[in-house]
Amino acid sequence: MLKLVKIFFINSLKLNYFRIGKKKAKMWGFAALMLFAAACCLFAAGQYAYAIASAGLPGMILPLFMSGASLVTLFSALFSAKSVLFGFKDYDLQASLPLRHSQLVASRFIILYVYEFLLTAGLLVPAAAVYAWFKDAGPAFYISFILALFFVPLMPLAIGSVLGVLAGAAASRFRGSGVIQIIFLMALSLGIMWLNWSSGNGVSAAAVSAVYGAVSRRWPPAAIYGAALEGSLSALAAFIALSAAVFILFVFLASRWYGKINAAVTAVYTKGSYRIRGLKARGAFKALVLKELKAYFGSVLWVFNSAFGIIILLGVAAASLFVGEDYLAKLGPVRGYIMPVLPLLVCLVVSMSNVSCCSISMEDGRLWLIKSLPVSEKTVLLSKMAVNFLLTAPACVIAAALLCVGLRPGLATGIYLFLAPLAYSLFVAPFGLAVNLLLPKLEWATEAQVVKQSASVMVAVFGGMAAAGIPMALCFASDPAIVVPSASAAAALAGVGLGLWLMRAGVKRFRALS
Amino acid sequence: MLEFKNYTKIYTKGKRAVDGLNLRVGAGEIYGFIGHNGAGKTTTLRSAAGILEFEEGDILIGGISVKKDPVACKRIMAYIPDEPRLYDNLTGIQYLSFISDIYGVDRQTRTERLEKYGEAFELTKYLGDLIGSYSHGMKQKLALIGAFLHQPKLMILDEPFVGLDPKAAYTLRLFMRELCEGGGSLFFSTHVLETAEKLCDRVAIIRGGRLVAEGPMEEVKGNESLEQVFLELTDNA
Repeated sequence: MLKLVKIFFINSLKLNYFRIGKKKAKMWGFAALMLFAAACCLFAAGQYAYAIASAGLPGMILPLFMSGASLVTLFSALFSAKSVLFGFKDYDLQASLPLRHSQLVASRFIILYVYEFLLTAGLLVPAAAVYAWFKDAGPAFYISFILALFFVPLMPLAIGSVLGVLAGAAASRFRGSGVIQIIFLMALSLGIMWLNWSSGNGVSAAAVSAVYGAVSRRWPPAAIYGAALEGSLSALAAFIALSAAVFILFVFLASRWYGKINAAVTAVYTKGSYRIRGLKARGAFKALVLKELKAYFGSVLWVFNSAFGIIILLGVAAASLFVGEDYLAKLGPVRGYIMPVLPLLVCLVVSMSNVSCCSISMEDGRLWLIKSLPVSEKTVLLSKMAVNFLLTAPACVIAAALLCVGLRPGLATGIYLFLAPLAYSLFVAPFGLAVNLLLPKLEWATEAQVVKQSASVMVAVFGGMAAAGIPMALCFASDPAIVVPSASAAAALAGVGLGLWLMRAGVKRFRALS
Repeated sequence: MLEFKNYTKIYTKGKRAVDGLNLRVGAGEIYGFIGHNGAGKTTTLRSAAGILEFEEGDILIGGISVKKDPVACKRIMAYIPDEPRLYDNLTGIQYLSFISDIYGVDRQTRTERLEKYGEAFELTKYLGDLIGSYSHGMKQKLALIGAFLHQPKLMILDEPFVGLDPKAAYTLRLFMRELCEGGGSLFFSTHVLETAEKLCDRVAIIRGGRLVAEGPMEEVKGNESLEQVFLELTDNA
């Protein structure tokens, strides 16, 4: 069983490339980048924990971070369960090996658990360090924390997996299964997020207390976890027992019906009654764009990873029509700081909505097809960028219009609300594609490896965040009236520059891919 | 129609996967390309299809260099790999419409050809289903229909009979012959030597990246079977 896990990680993380072949330097560079990103996340988590502790509420740090980690695990399992636990590409190969079924099942759970555990530890370890510092915690705390840490991901992992599998199995009965899953999971995610946010946010003592109260009500294990780390042995035992029980029940049920669940999740709707009629003819470019859009919307994970921010943006923009004035009134003088930065906030969402950063990797074994077609590499690359632009640009315009009506930001900010995100849209598409050409991942077993874990996605998302985040930070130190248009112009220029690079060097790189 | 001129593919560390290949596939010919696993067949086919770049020599399709104008070459040919991975999230008809759009096949023609090839390969009724639901053989048939849809002057096929049921294999042989009777050419690799013997006008045998025999089928095999000749040339050379 552990051999299956080992083989999975060696293959999916390309560990052999660290010592064999010509990609050694690239792999070490990528590992360094990942470590840097992880360090940034740890630092950010620590900072937030420090803010809560400074607000005089160190006791709430760990329950809040535990619920945050649980939420992240829940989302992650929701979208990964279908491709990591079930319906993975090498299922037939693994199922044909002389291993017990339970061993195969257990290996998949361990793989998912390892990912979720790392996420959880990344959030909780810095939080625990801050807590221990403020509370001057003794050895008992460290023992309890380490022990409980291994159990924190179990419950959300089980719940998220059940929901994800149910969505996948239900949707597979319909022809537009991808779209149905996207709608279902989007609604579910927005619901969970609404529950999480409806109690407010911020790091003031009142806000943290309000969130803590809400979290305790909606995710009771968080309170038990908090009590366990405050020194209650019975709470620690209860937390471990509850987590283990839920997970064991899930593993038992999933193992028992693994074959059936796998068949249900991987089932594809068939009708077998097609008749040729009403065929339409299109131009080559339009055909490529449509093909790309269908591939995109056919992948639930891809849509979620790239379009979630845009959906939230549209939702918030629509909500601003109804609650915008009230919200601004509550902000008081802070309004004066936030309004000029609003265009860059929208840019931040656009920058993180990168579709093209894995569009080459997603071709996987189909690269032969696109490369054997009588279309130039330029046309292929342009079609991939067009899809990204088609998804972000109209959403930006709609969001800007809604925000202008809802928040009445003034003429200059209003104009920037339209122009800045469009400029960033021009940047994001070629940026993502360039990164993907430089860091392609053309062999993968699960979509999650490309869409969530590949180097190109990490670089594109963090790079996009920096492209909008740095000017946002500058706005607080300088005049937003200068920073916002300058950043927008720089983004548009960078987009044009990257586009030109793609049409020359990018084409050569694409040609060399095999 | 297809000409390899001193074609050489060099992989990393100077390893020559194919070394100085010269051969010519004339109009109306079915040309078999055979060799052991790893002999360089797929590498050669992928280079001819404009998918894989190569270091030395040239490949001409209809007199046009694949290196200099790959798009013009691709416009008149079709390529199908040994395991055609297609877009699982598209339906069969969406894939074929996509291919038709790319090759500029008009509505009337595509409908007629779809009816012809779809019925012949017994796939028409499944064209409304997602490709992800297809078996390996159905995907192979769909890729073949896509290739025949735009009536290429040259077809390059890597192991085209693998995965096909006997009837579909027979249908494919008929359409291959029909394409060549219309002046088209076919260059394909295979391990099914009996099929190659019956079907091909010319044959080339490759071993370790070098051509060891080439010519009209009757000349290459003489009085022996193709299998005997192949074993002699590849094992005892």
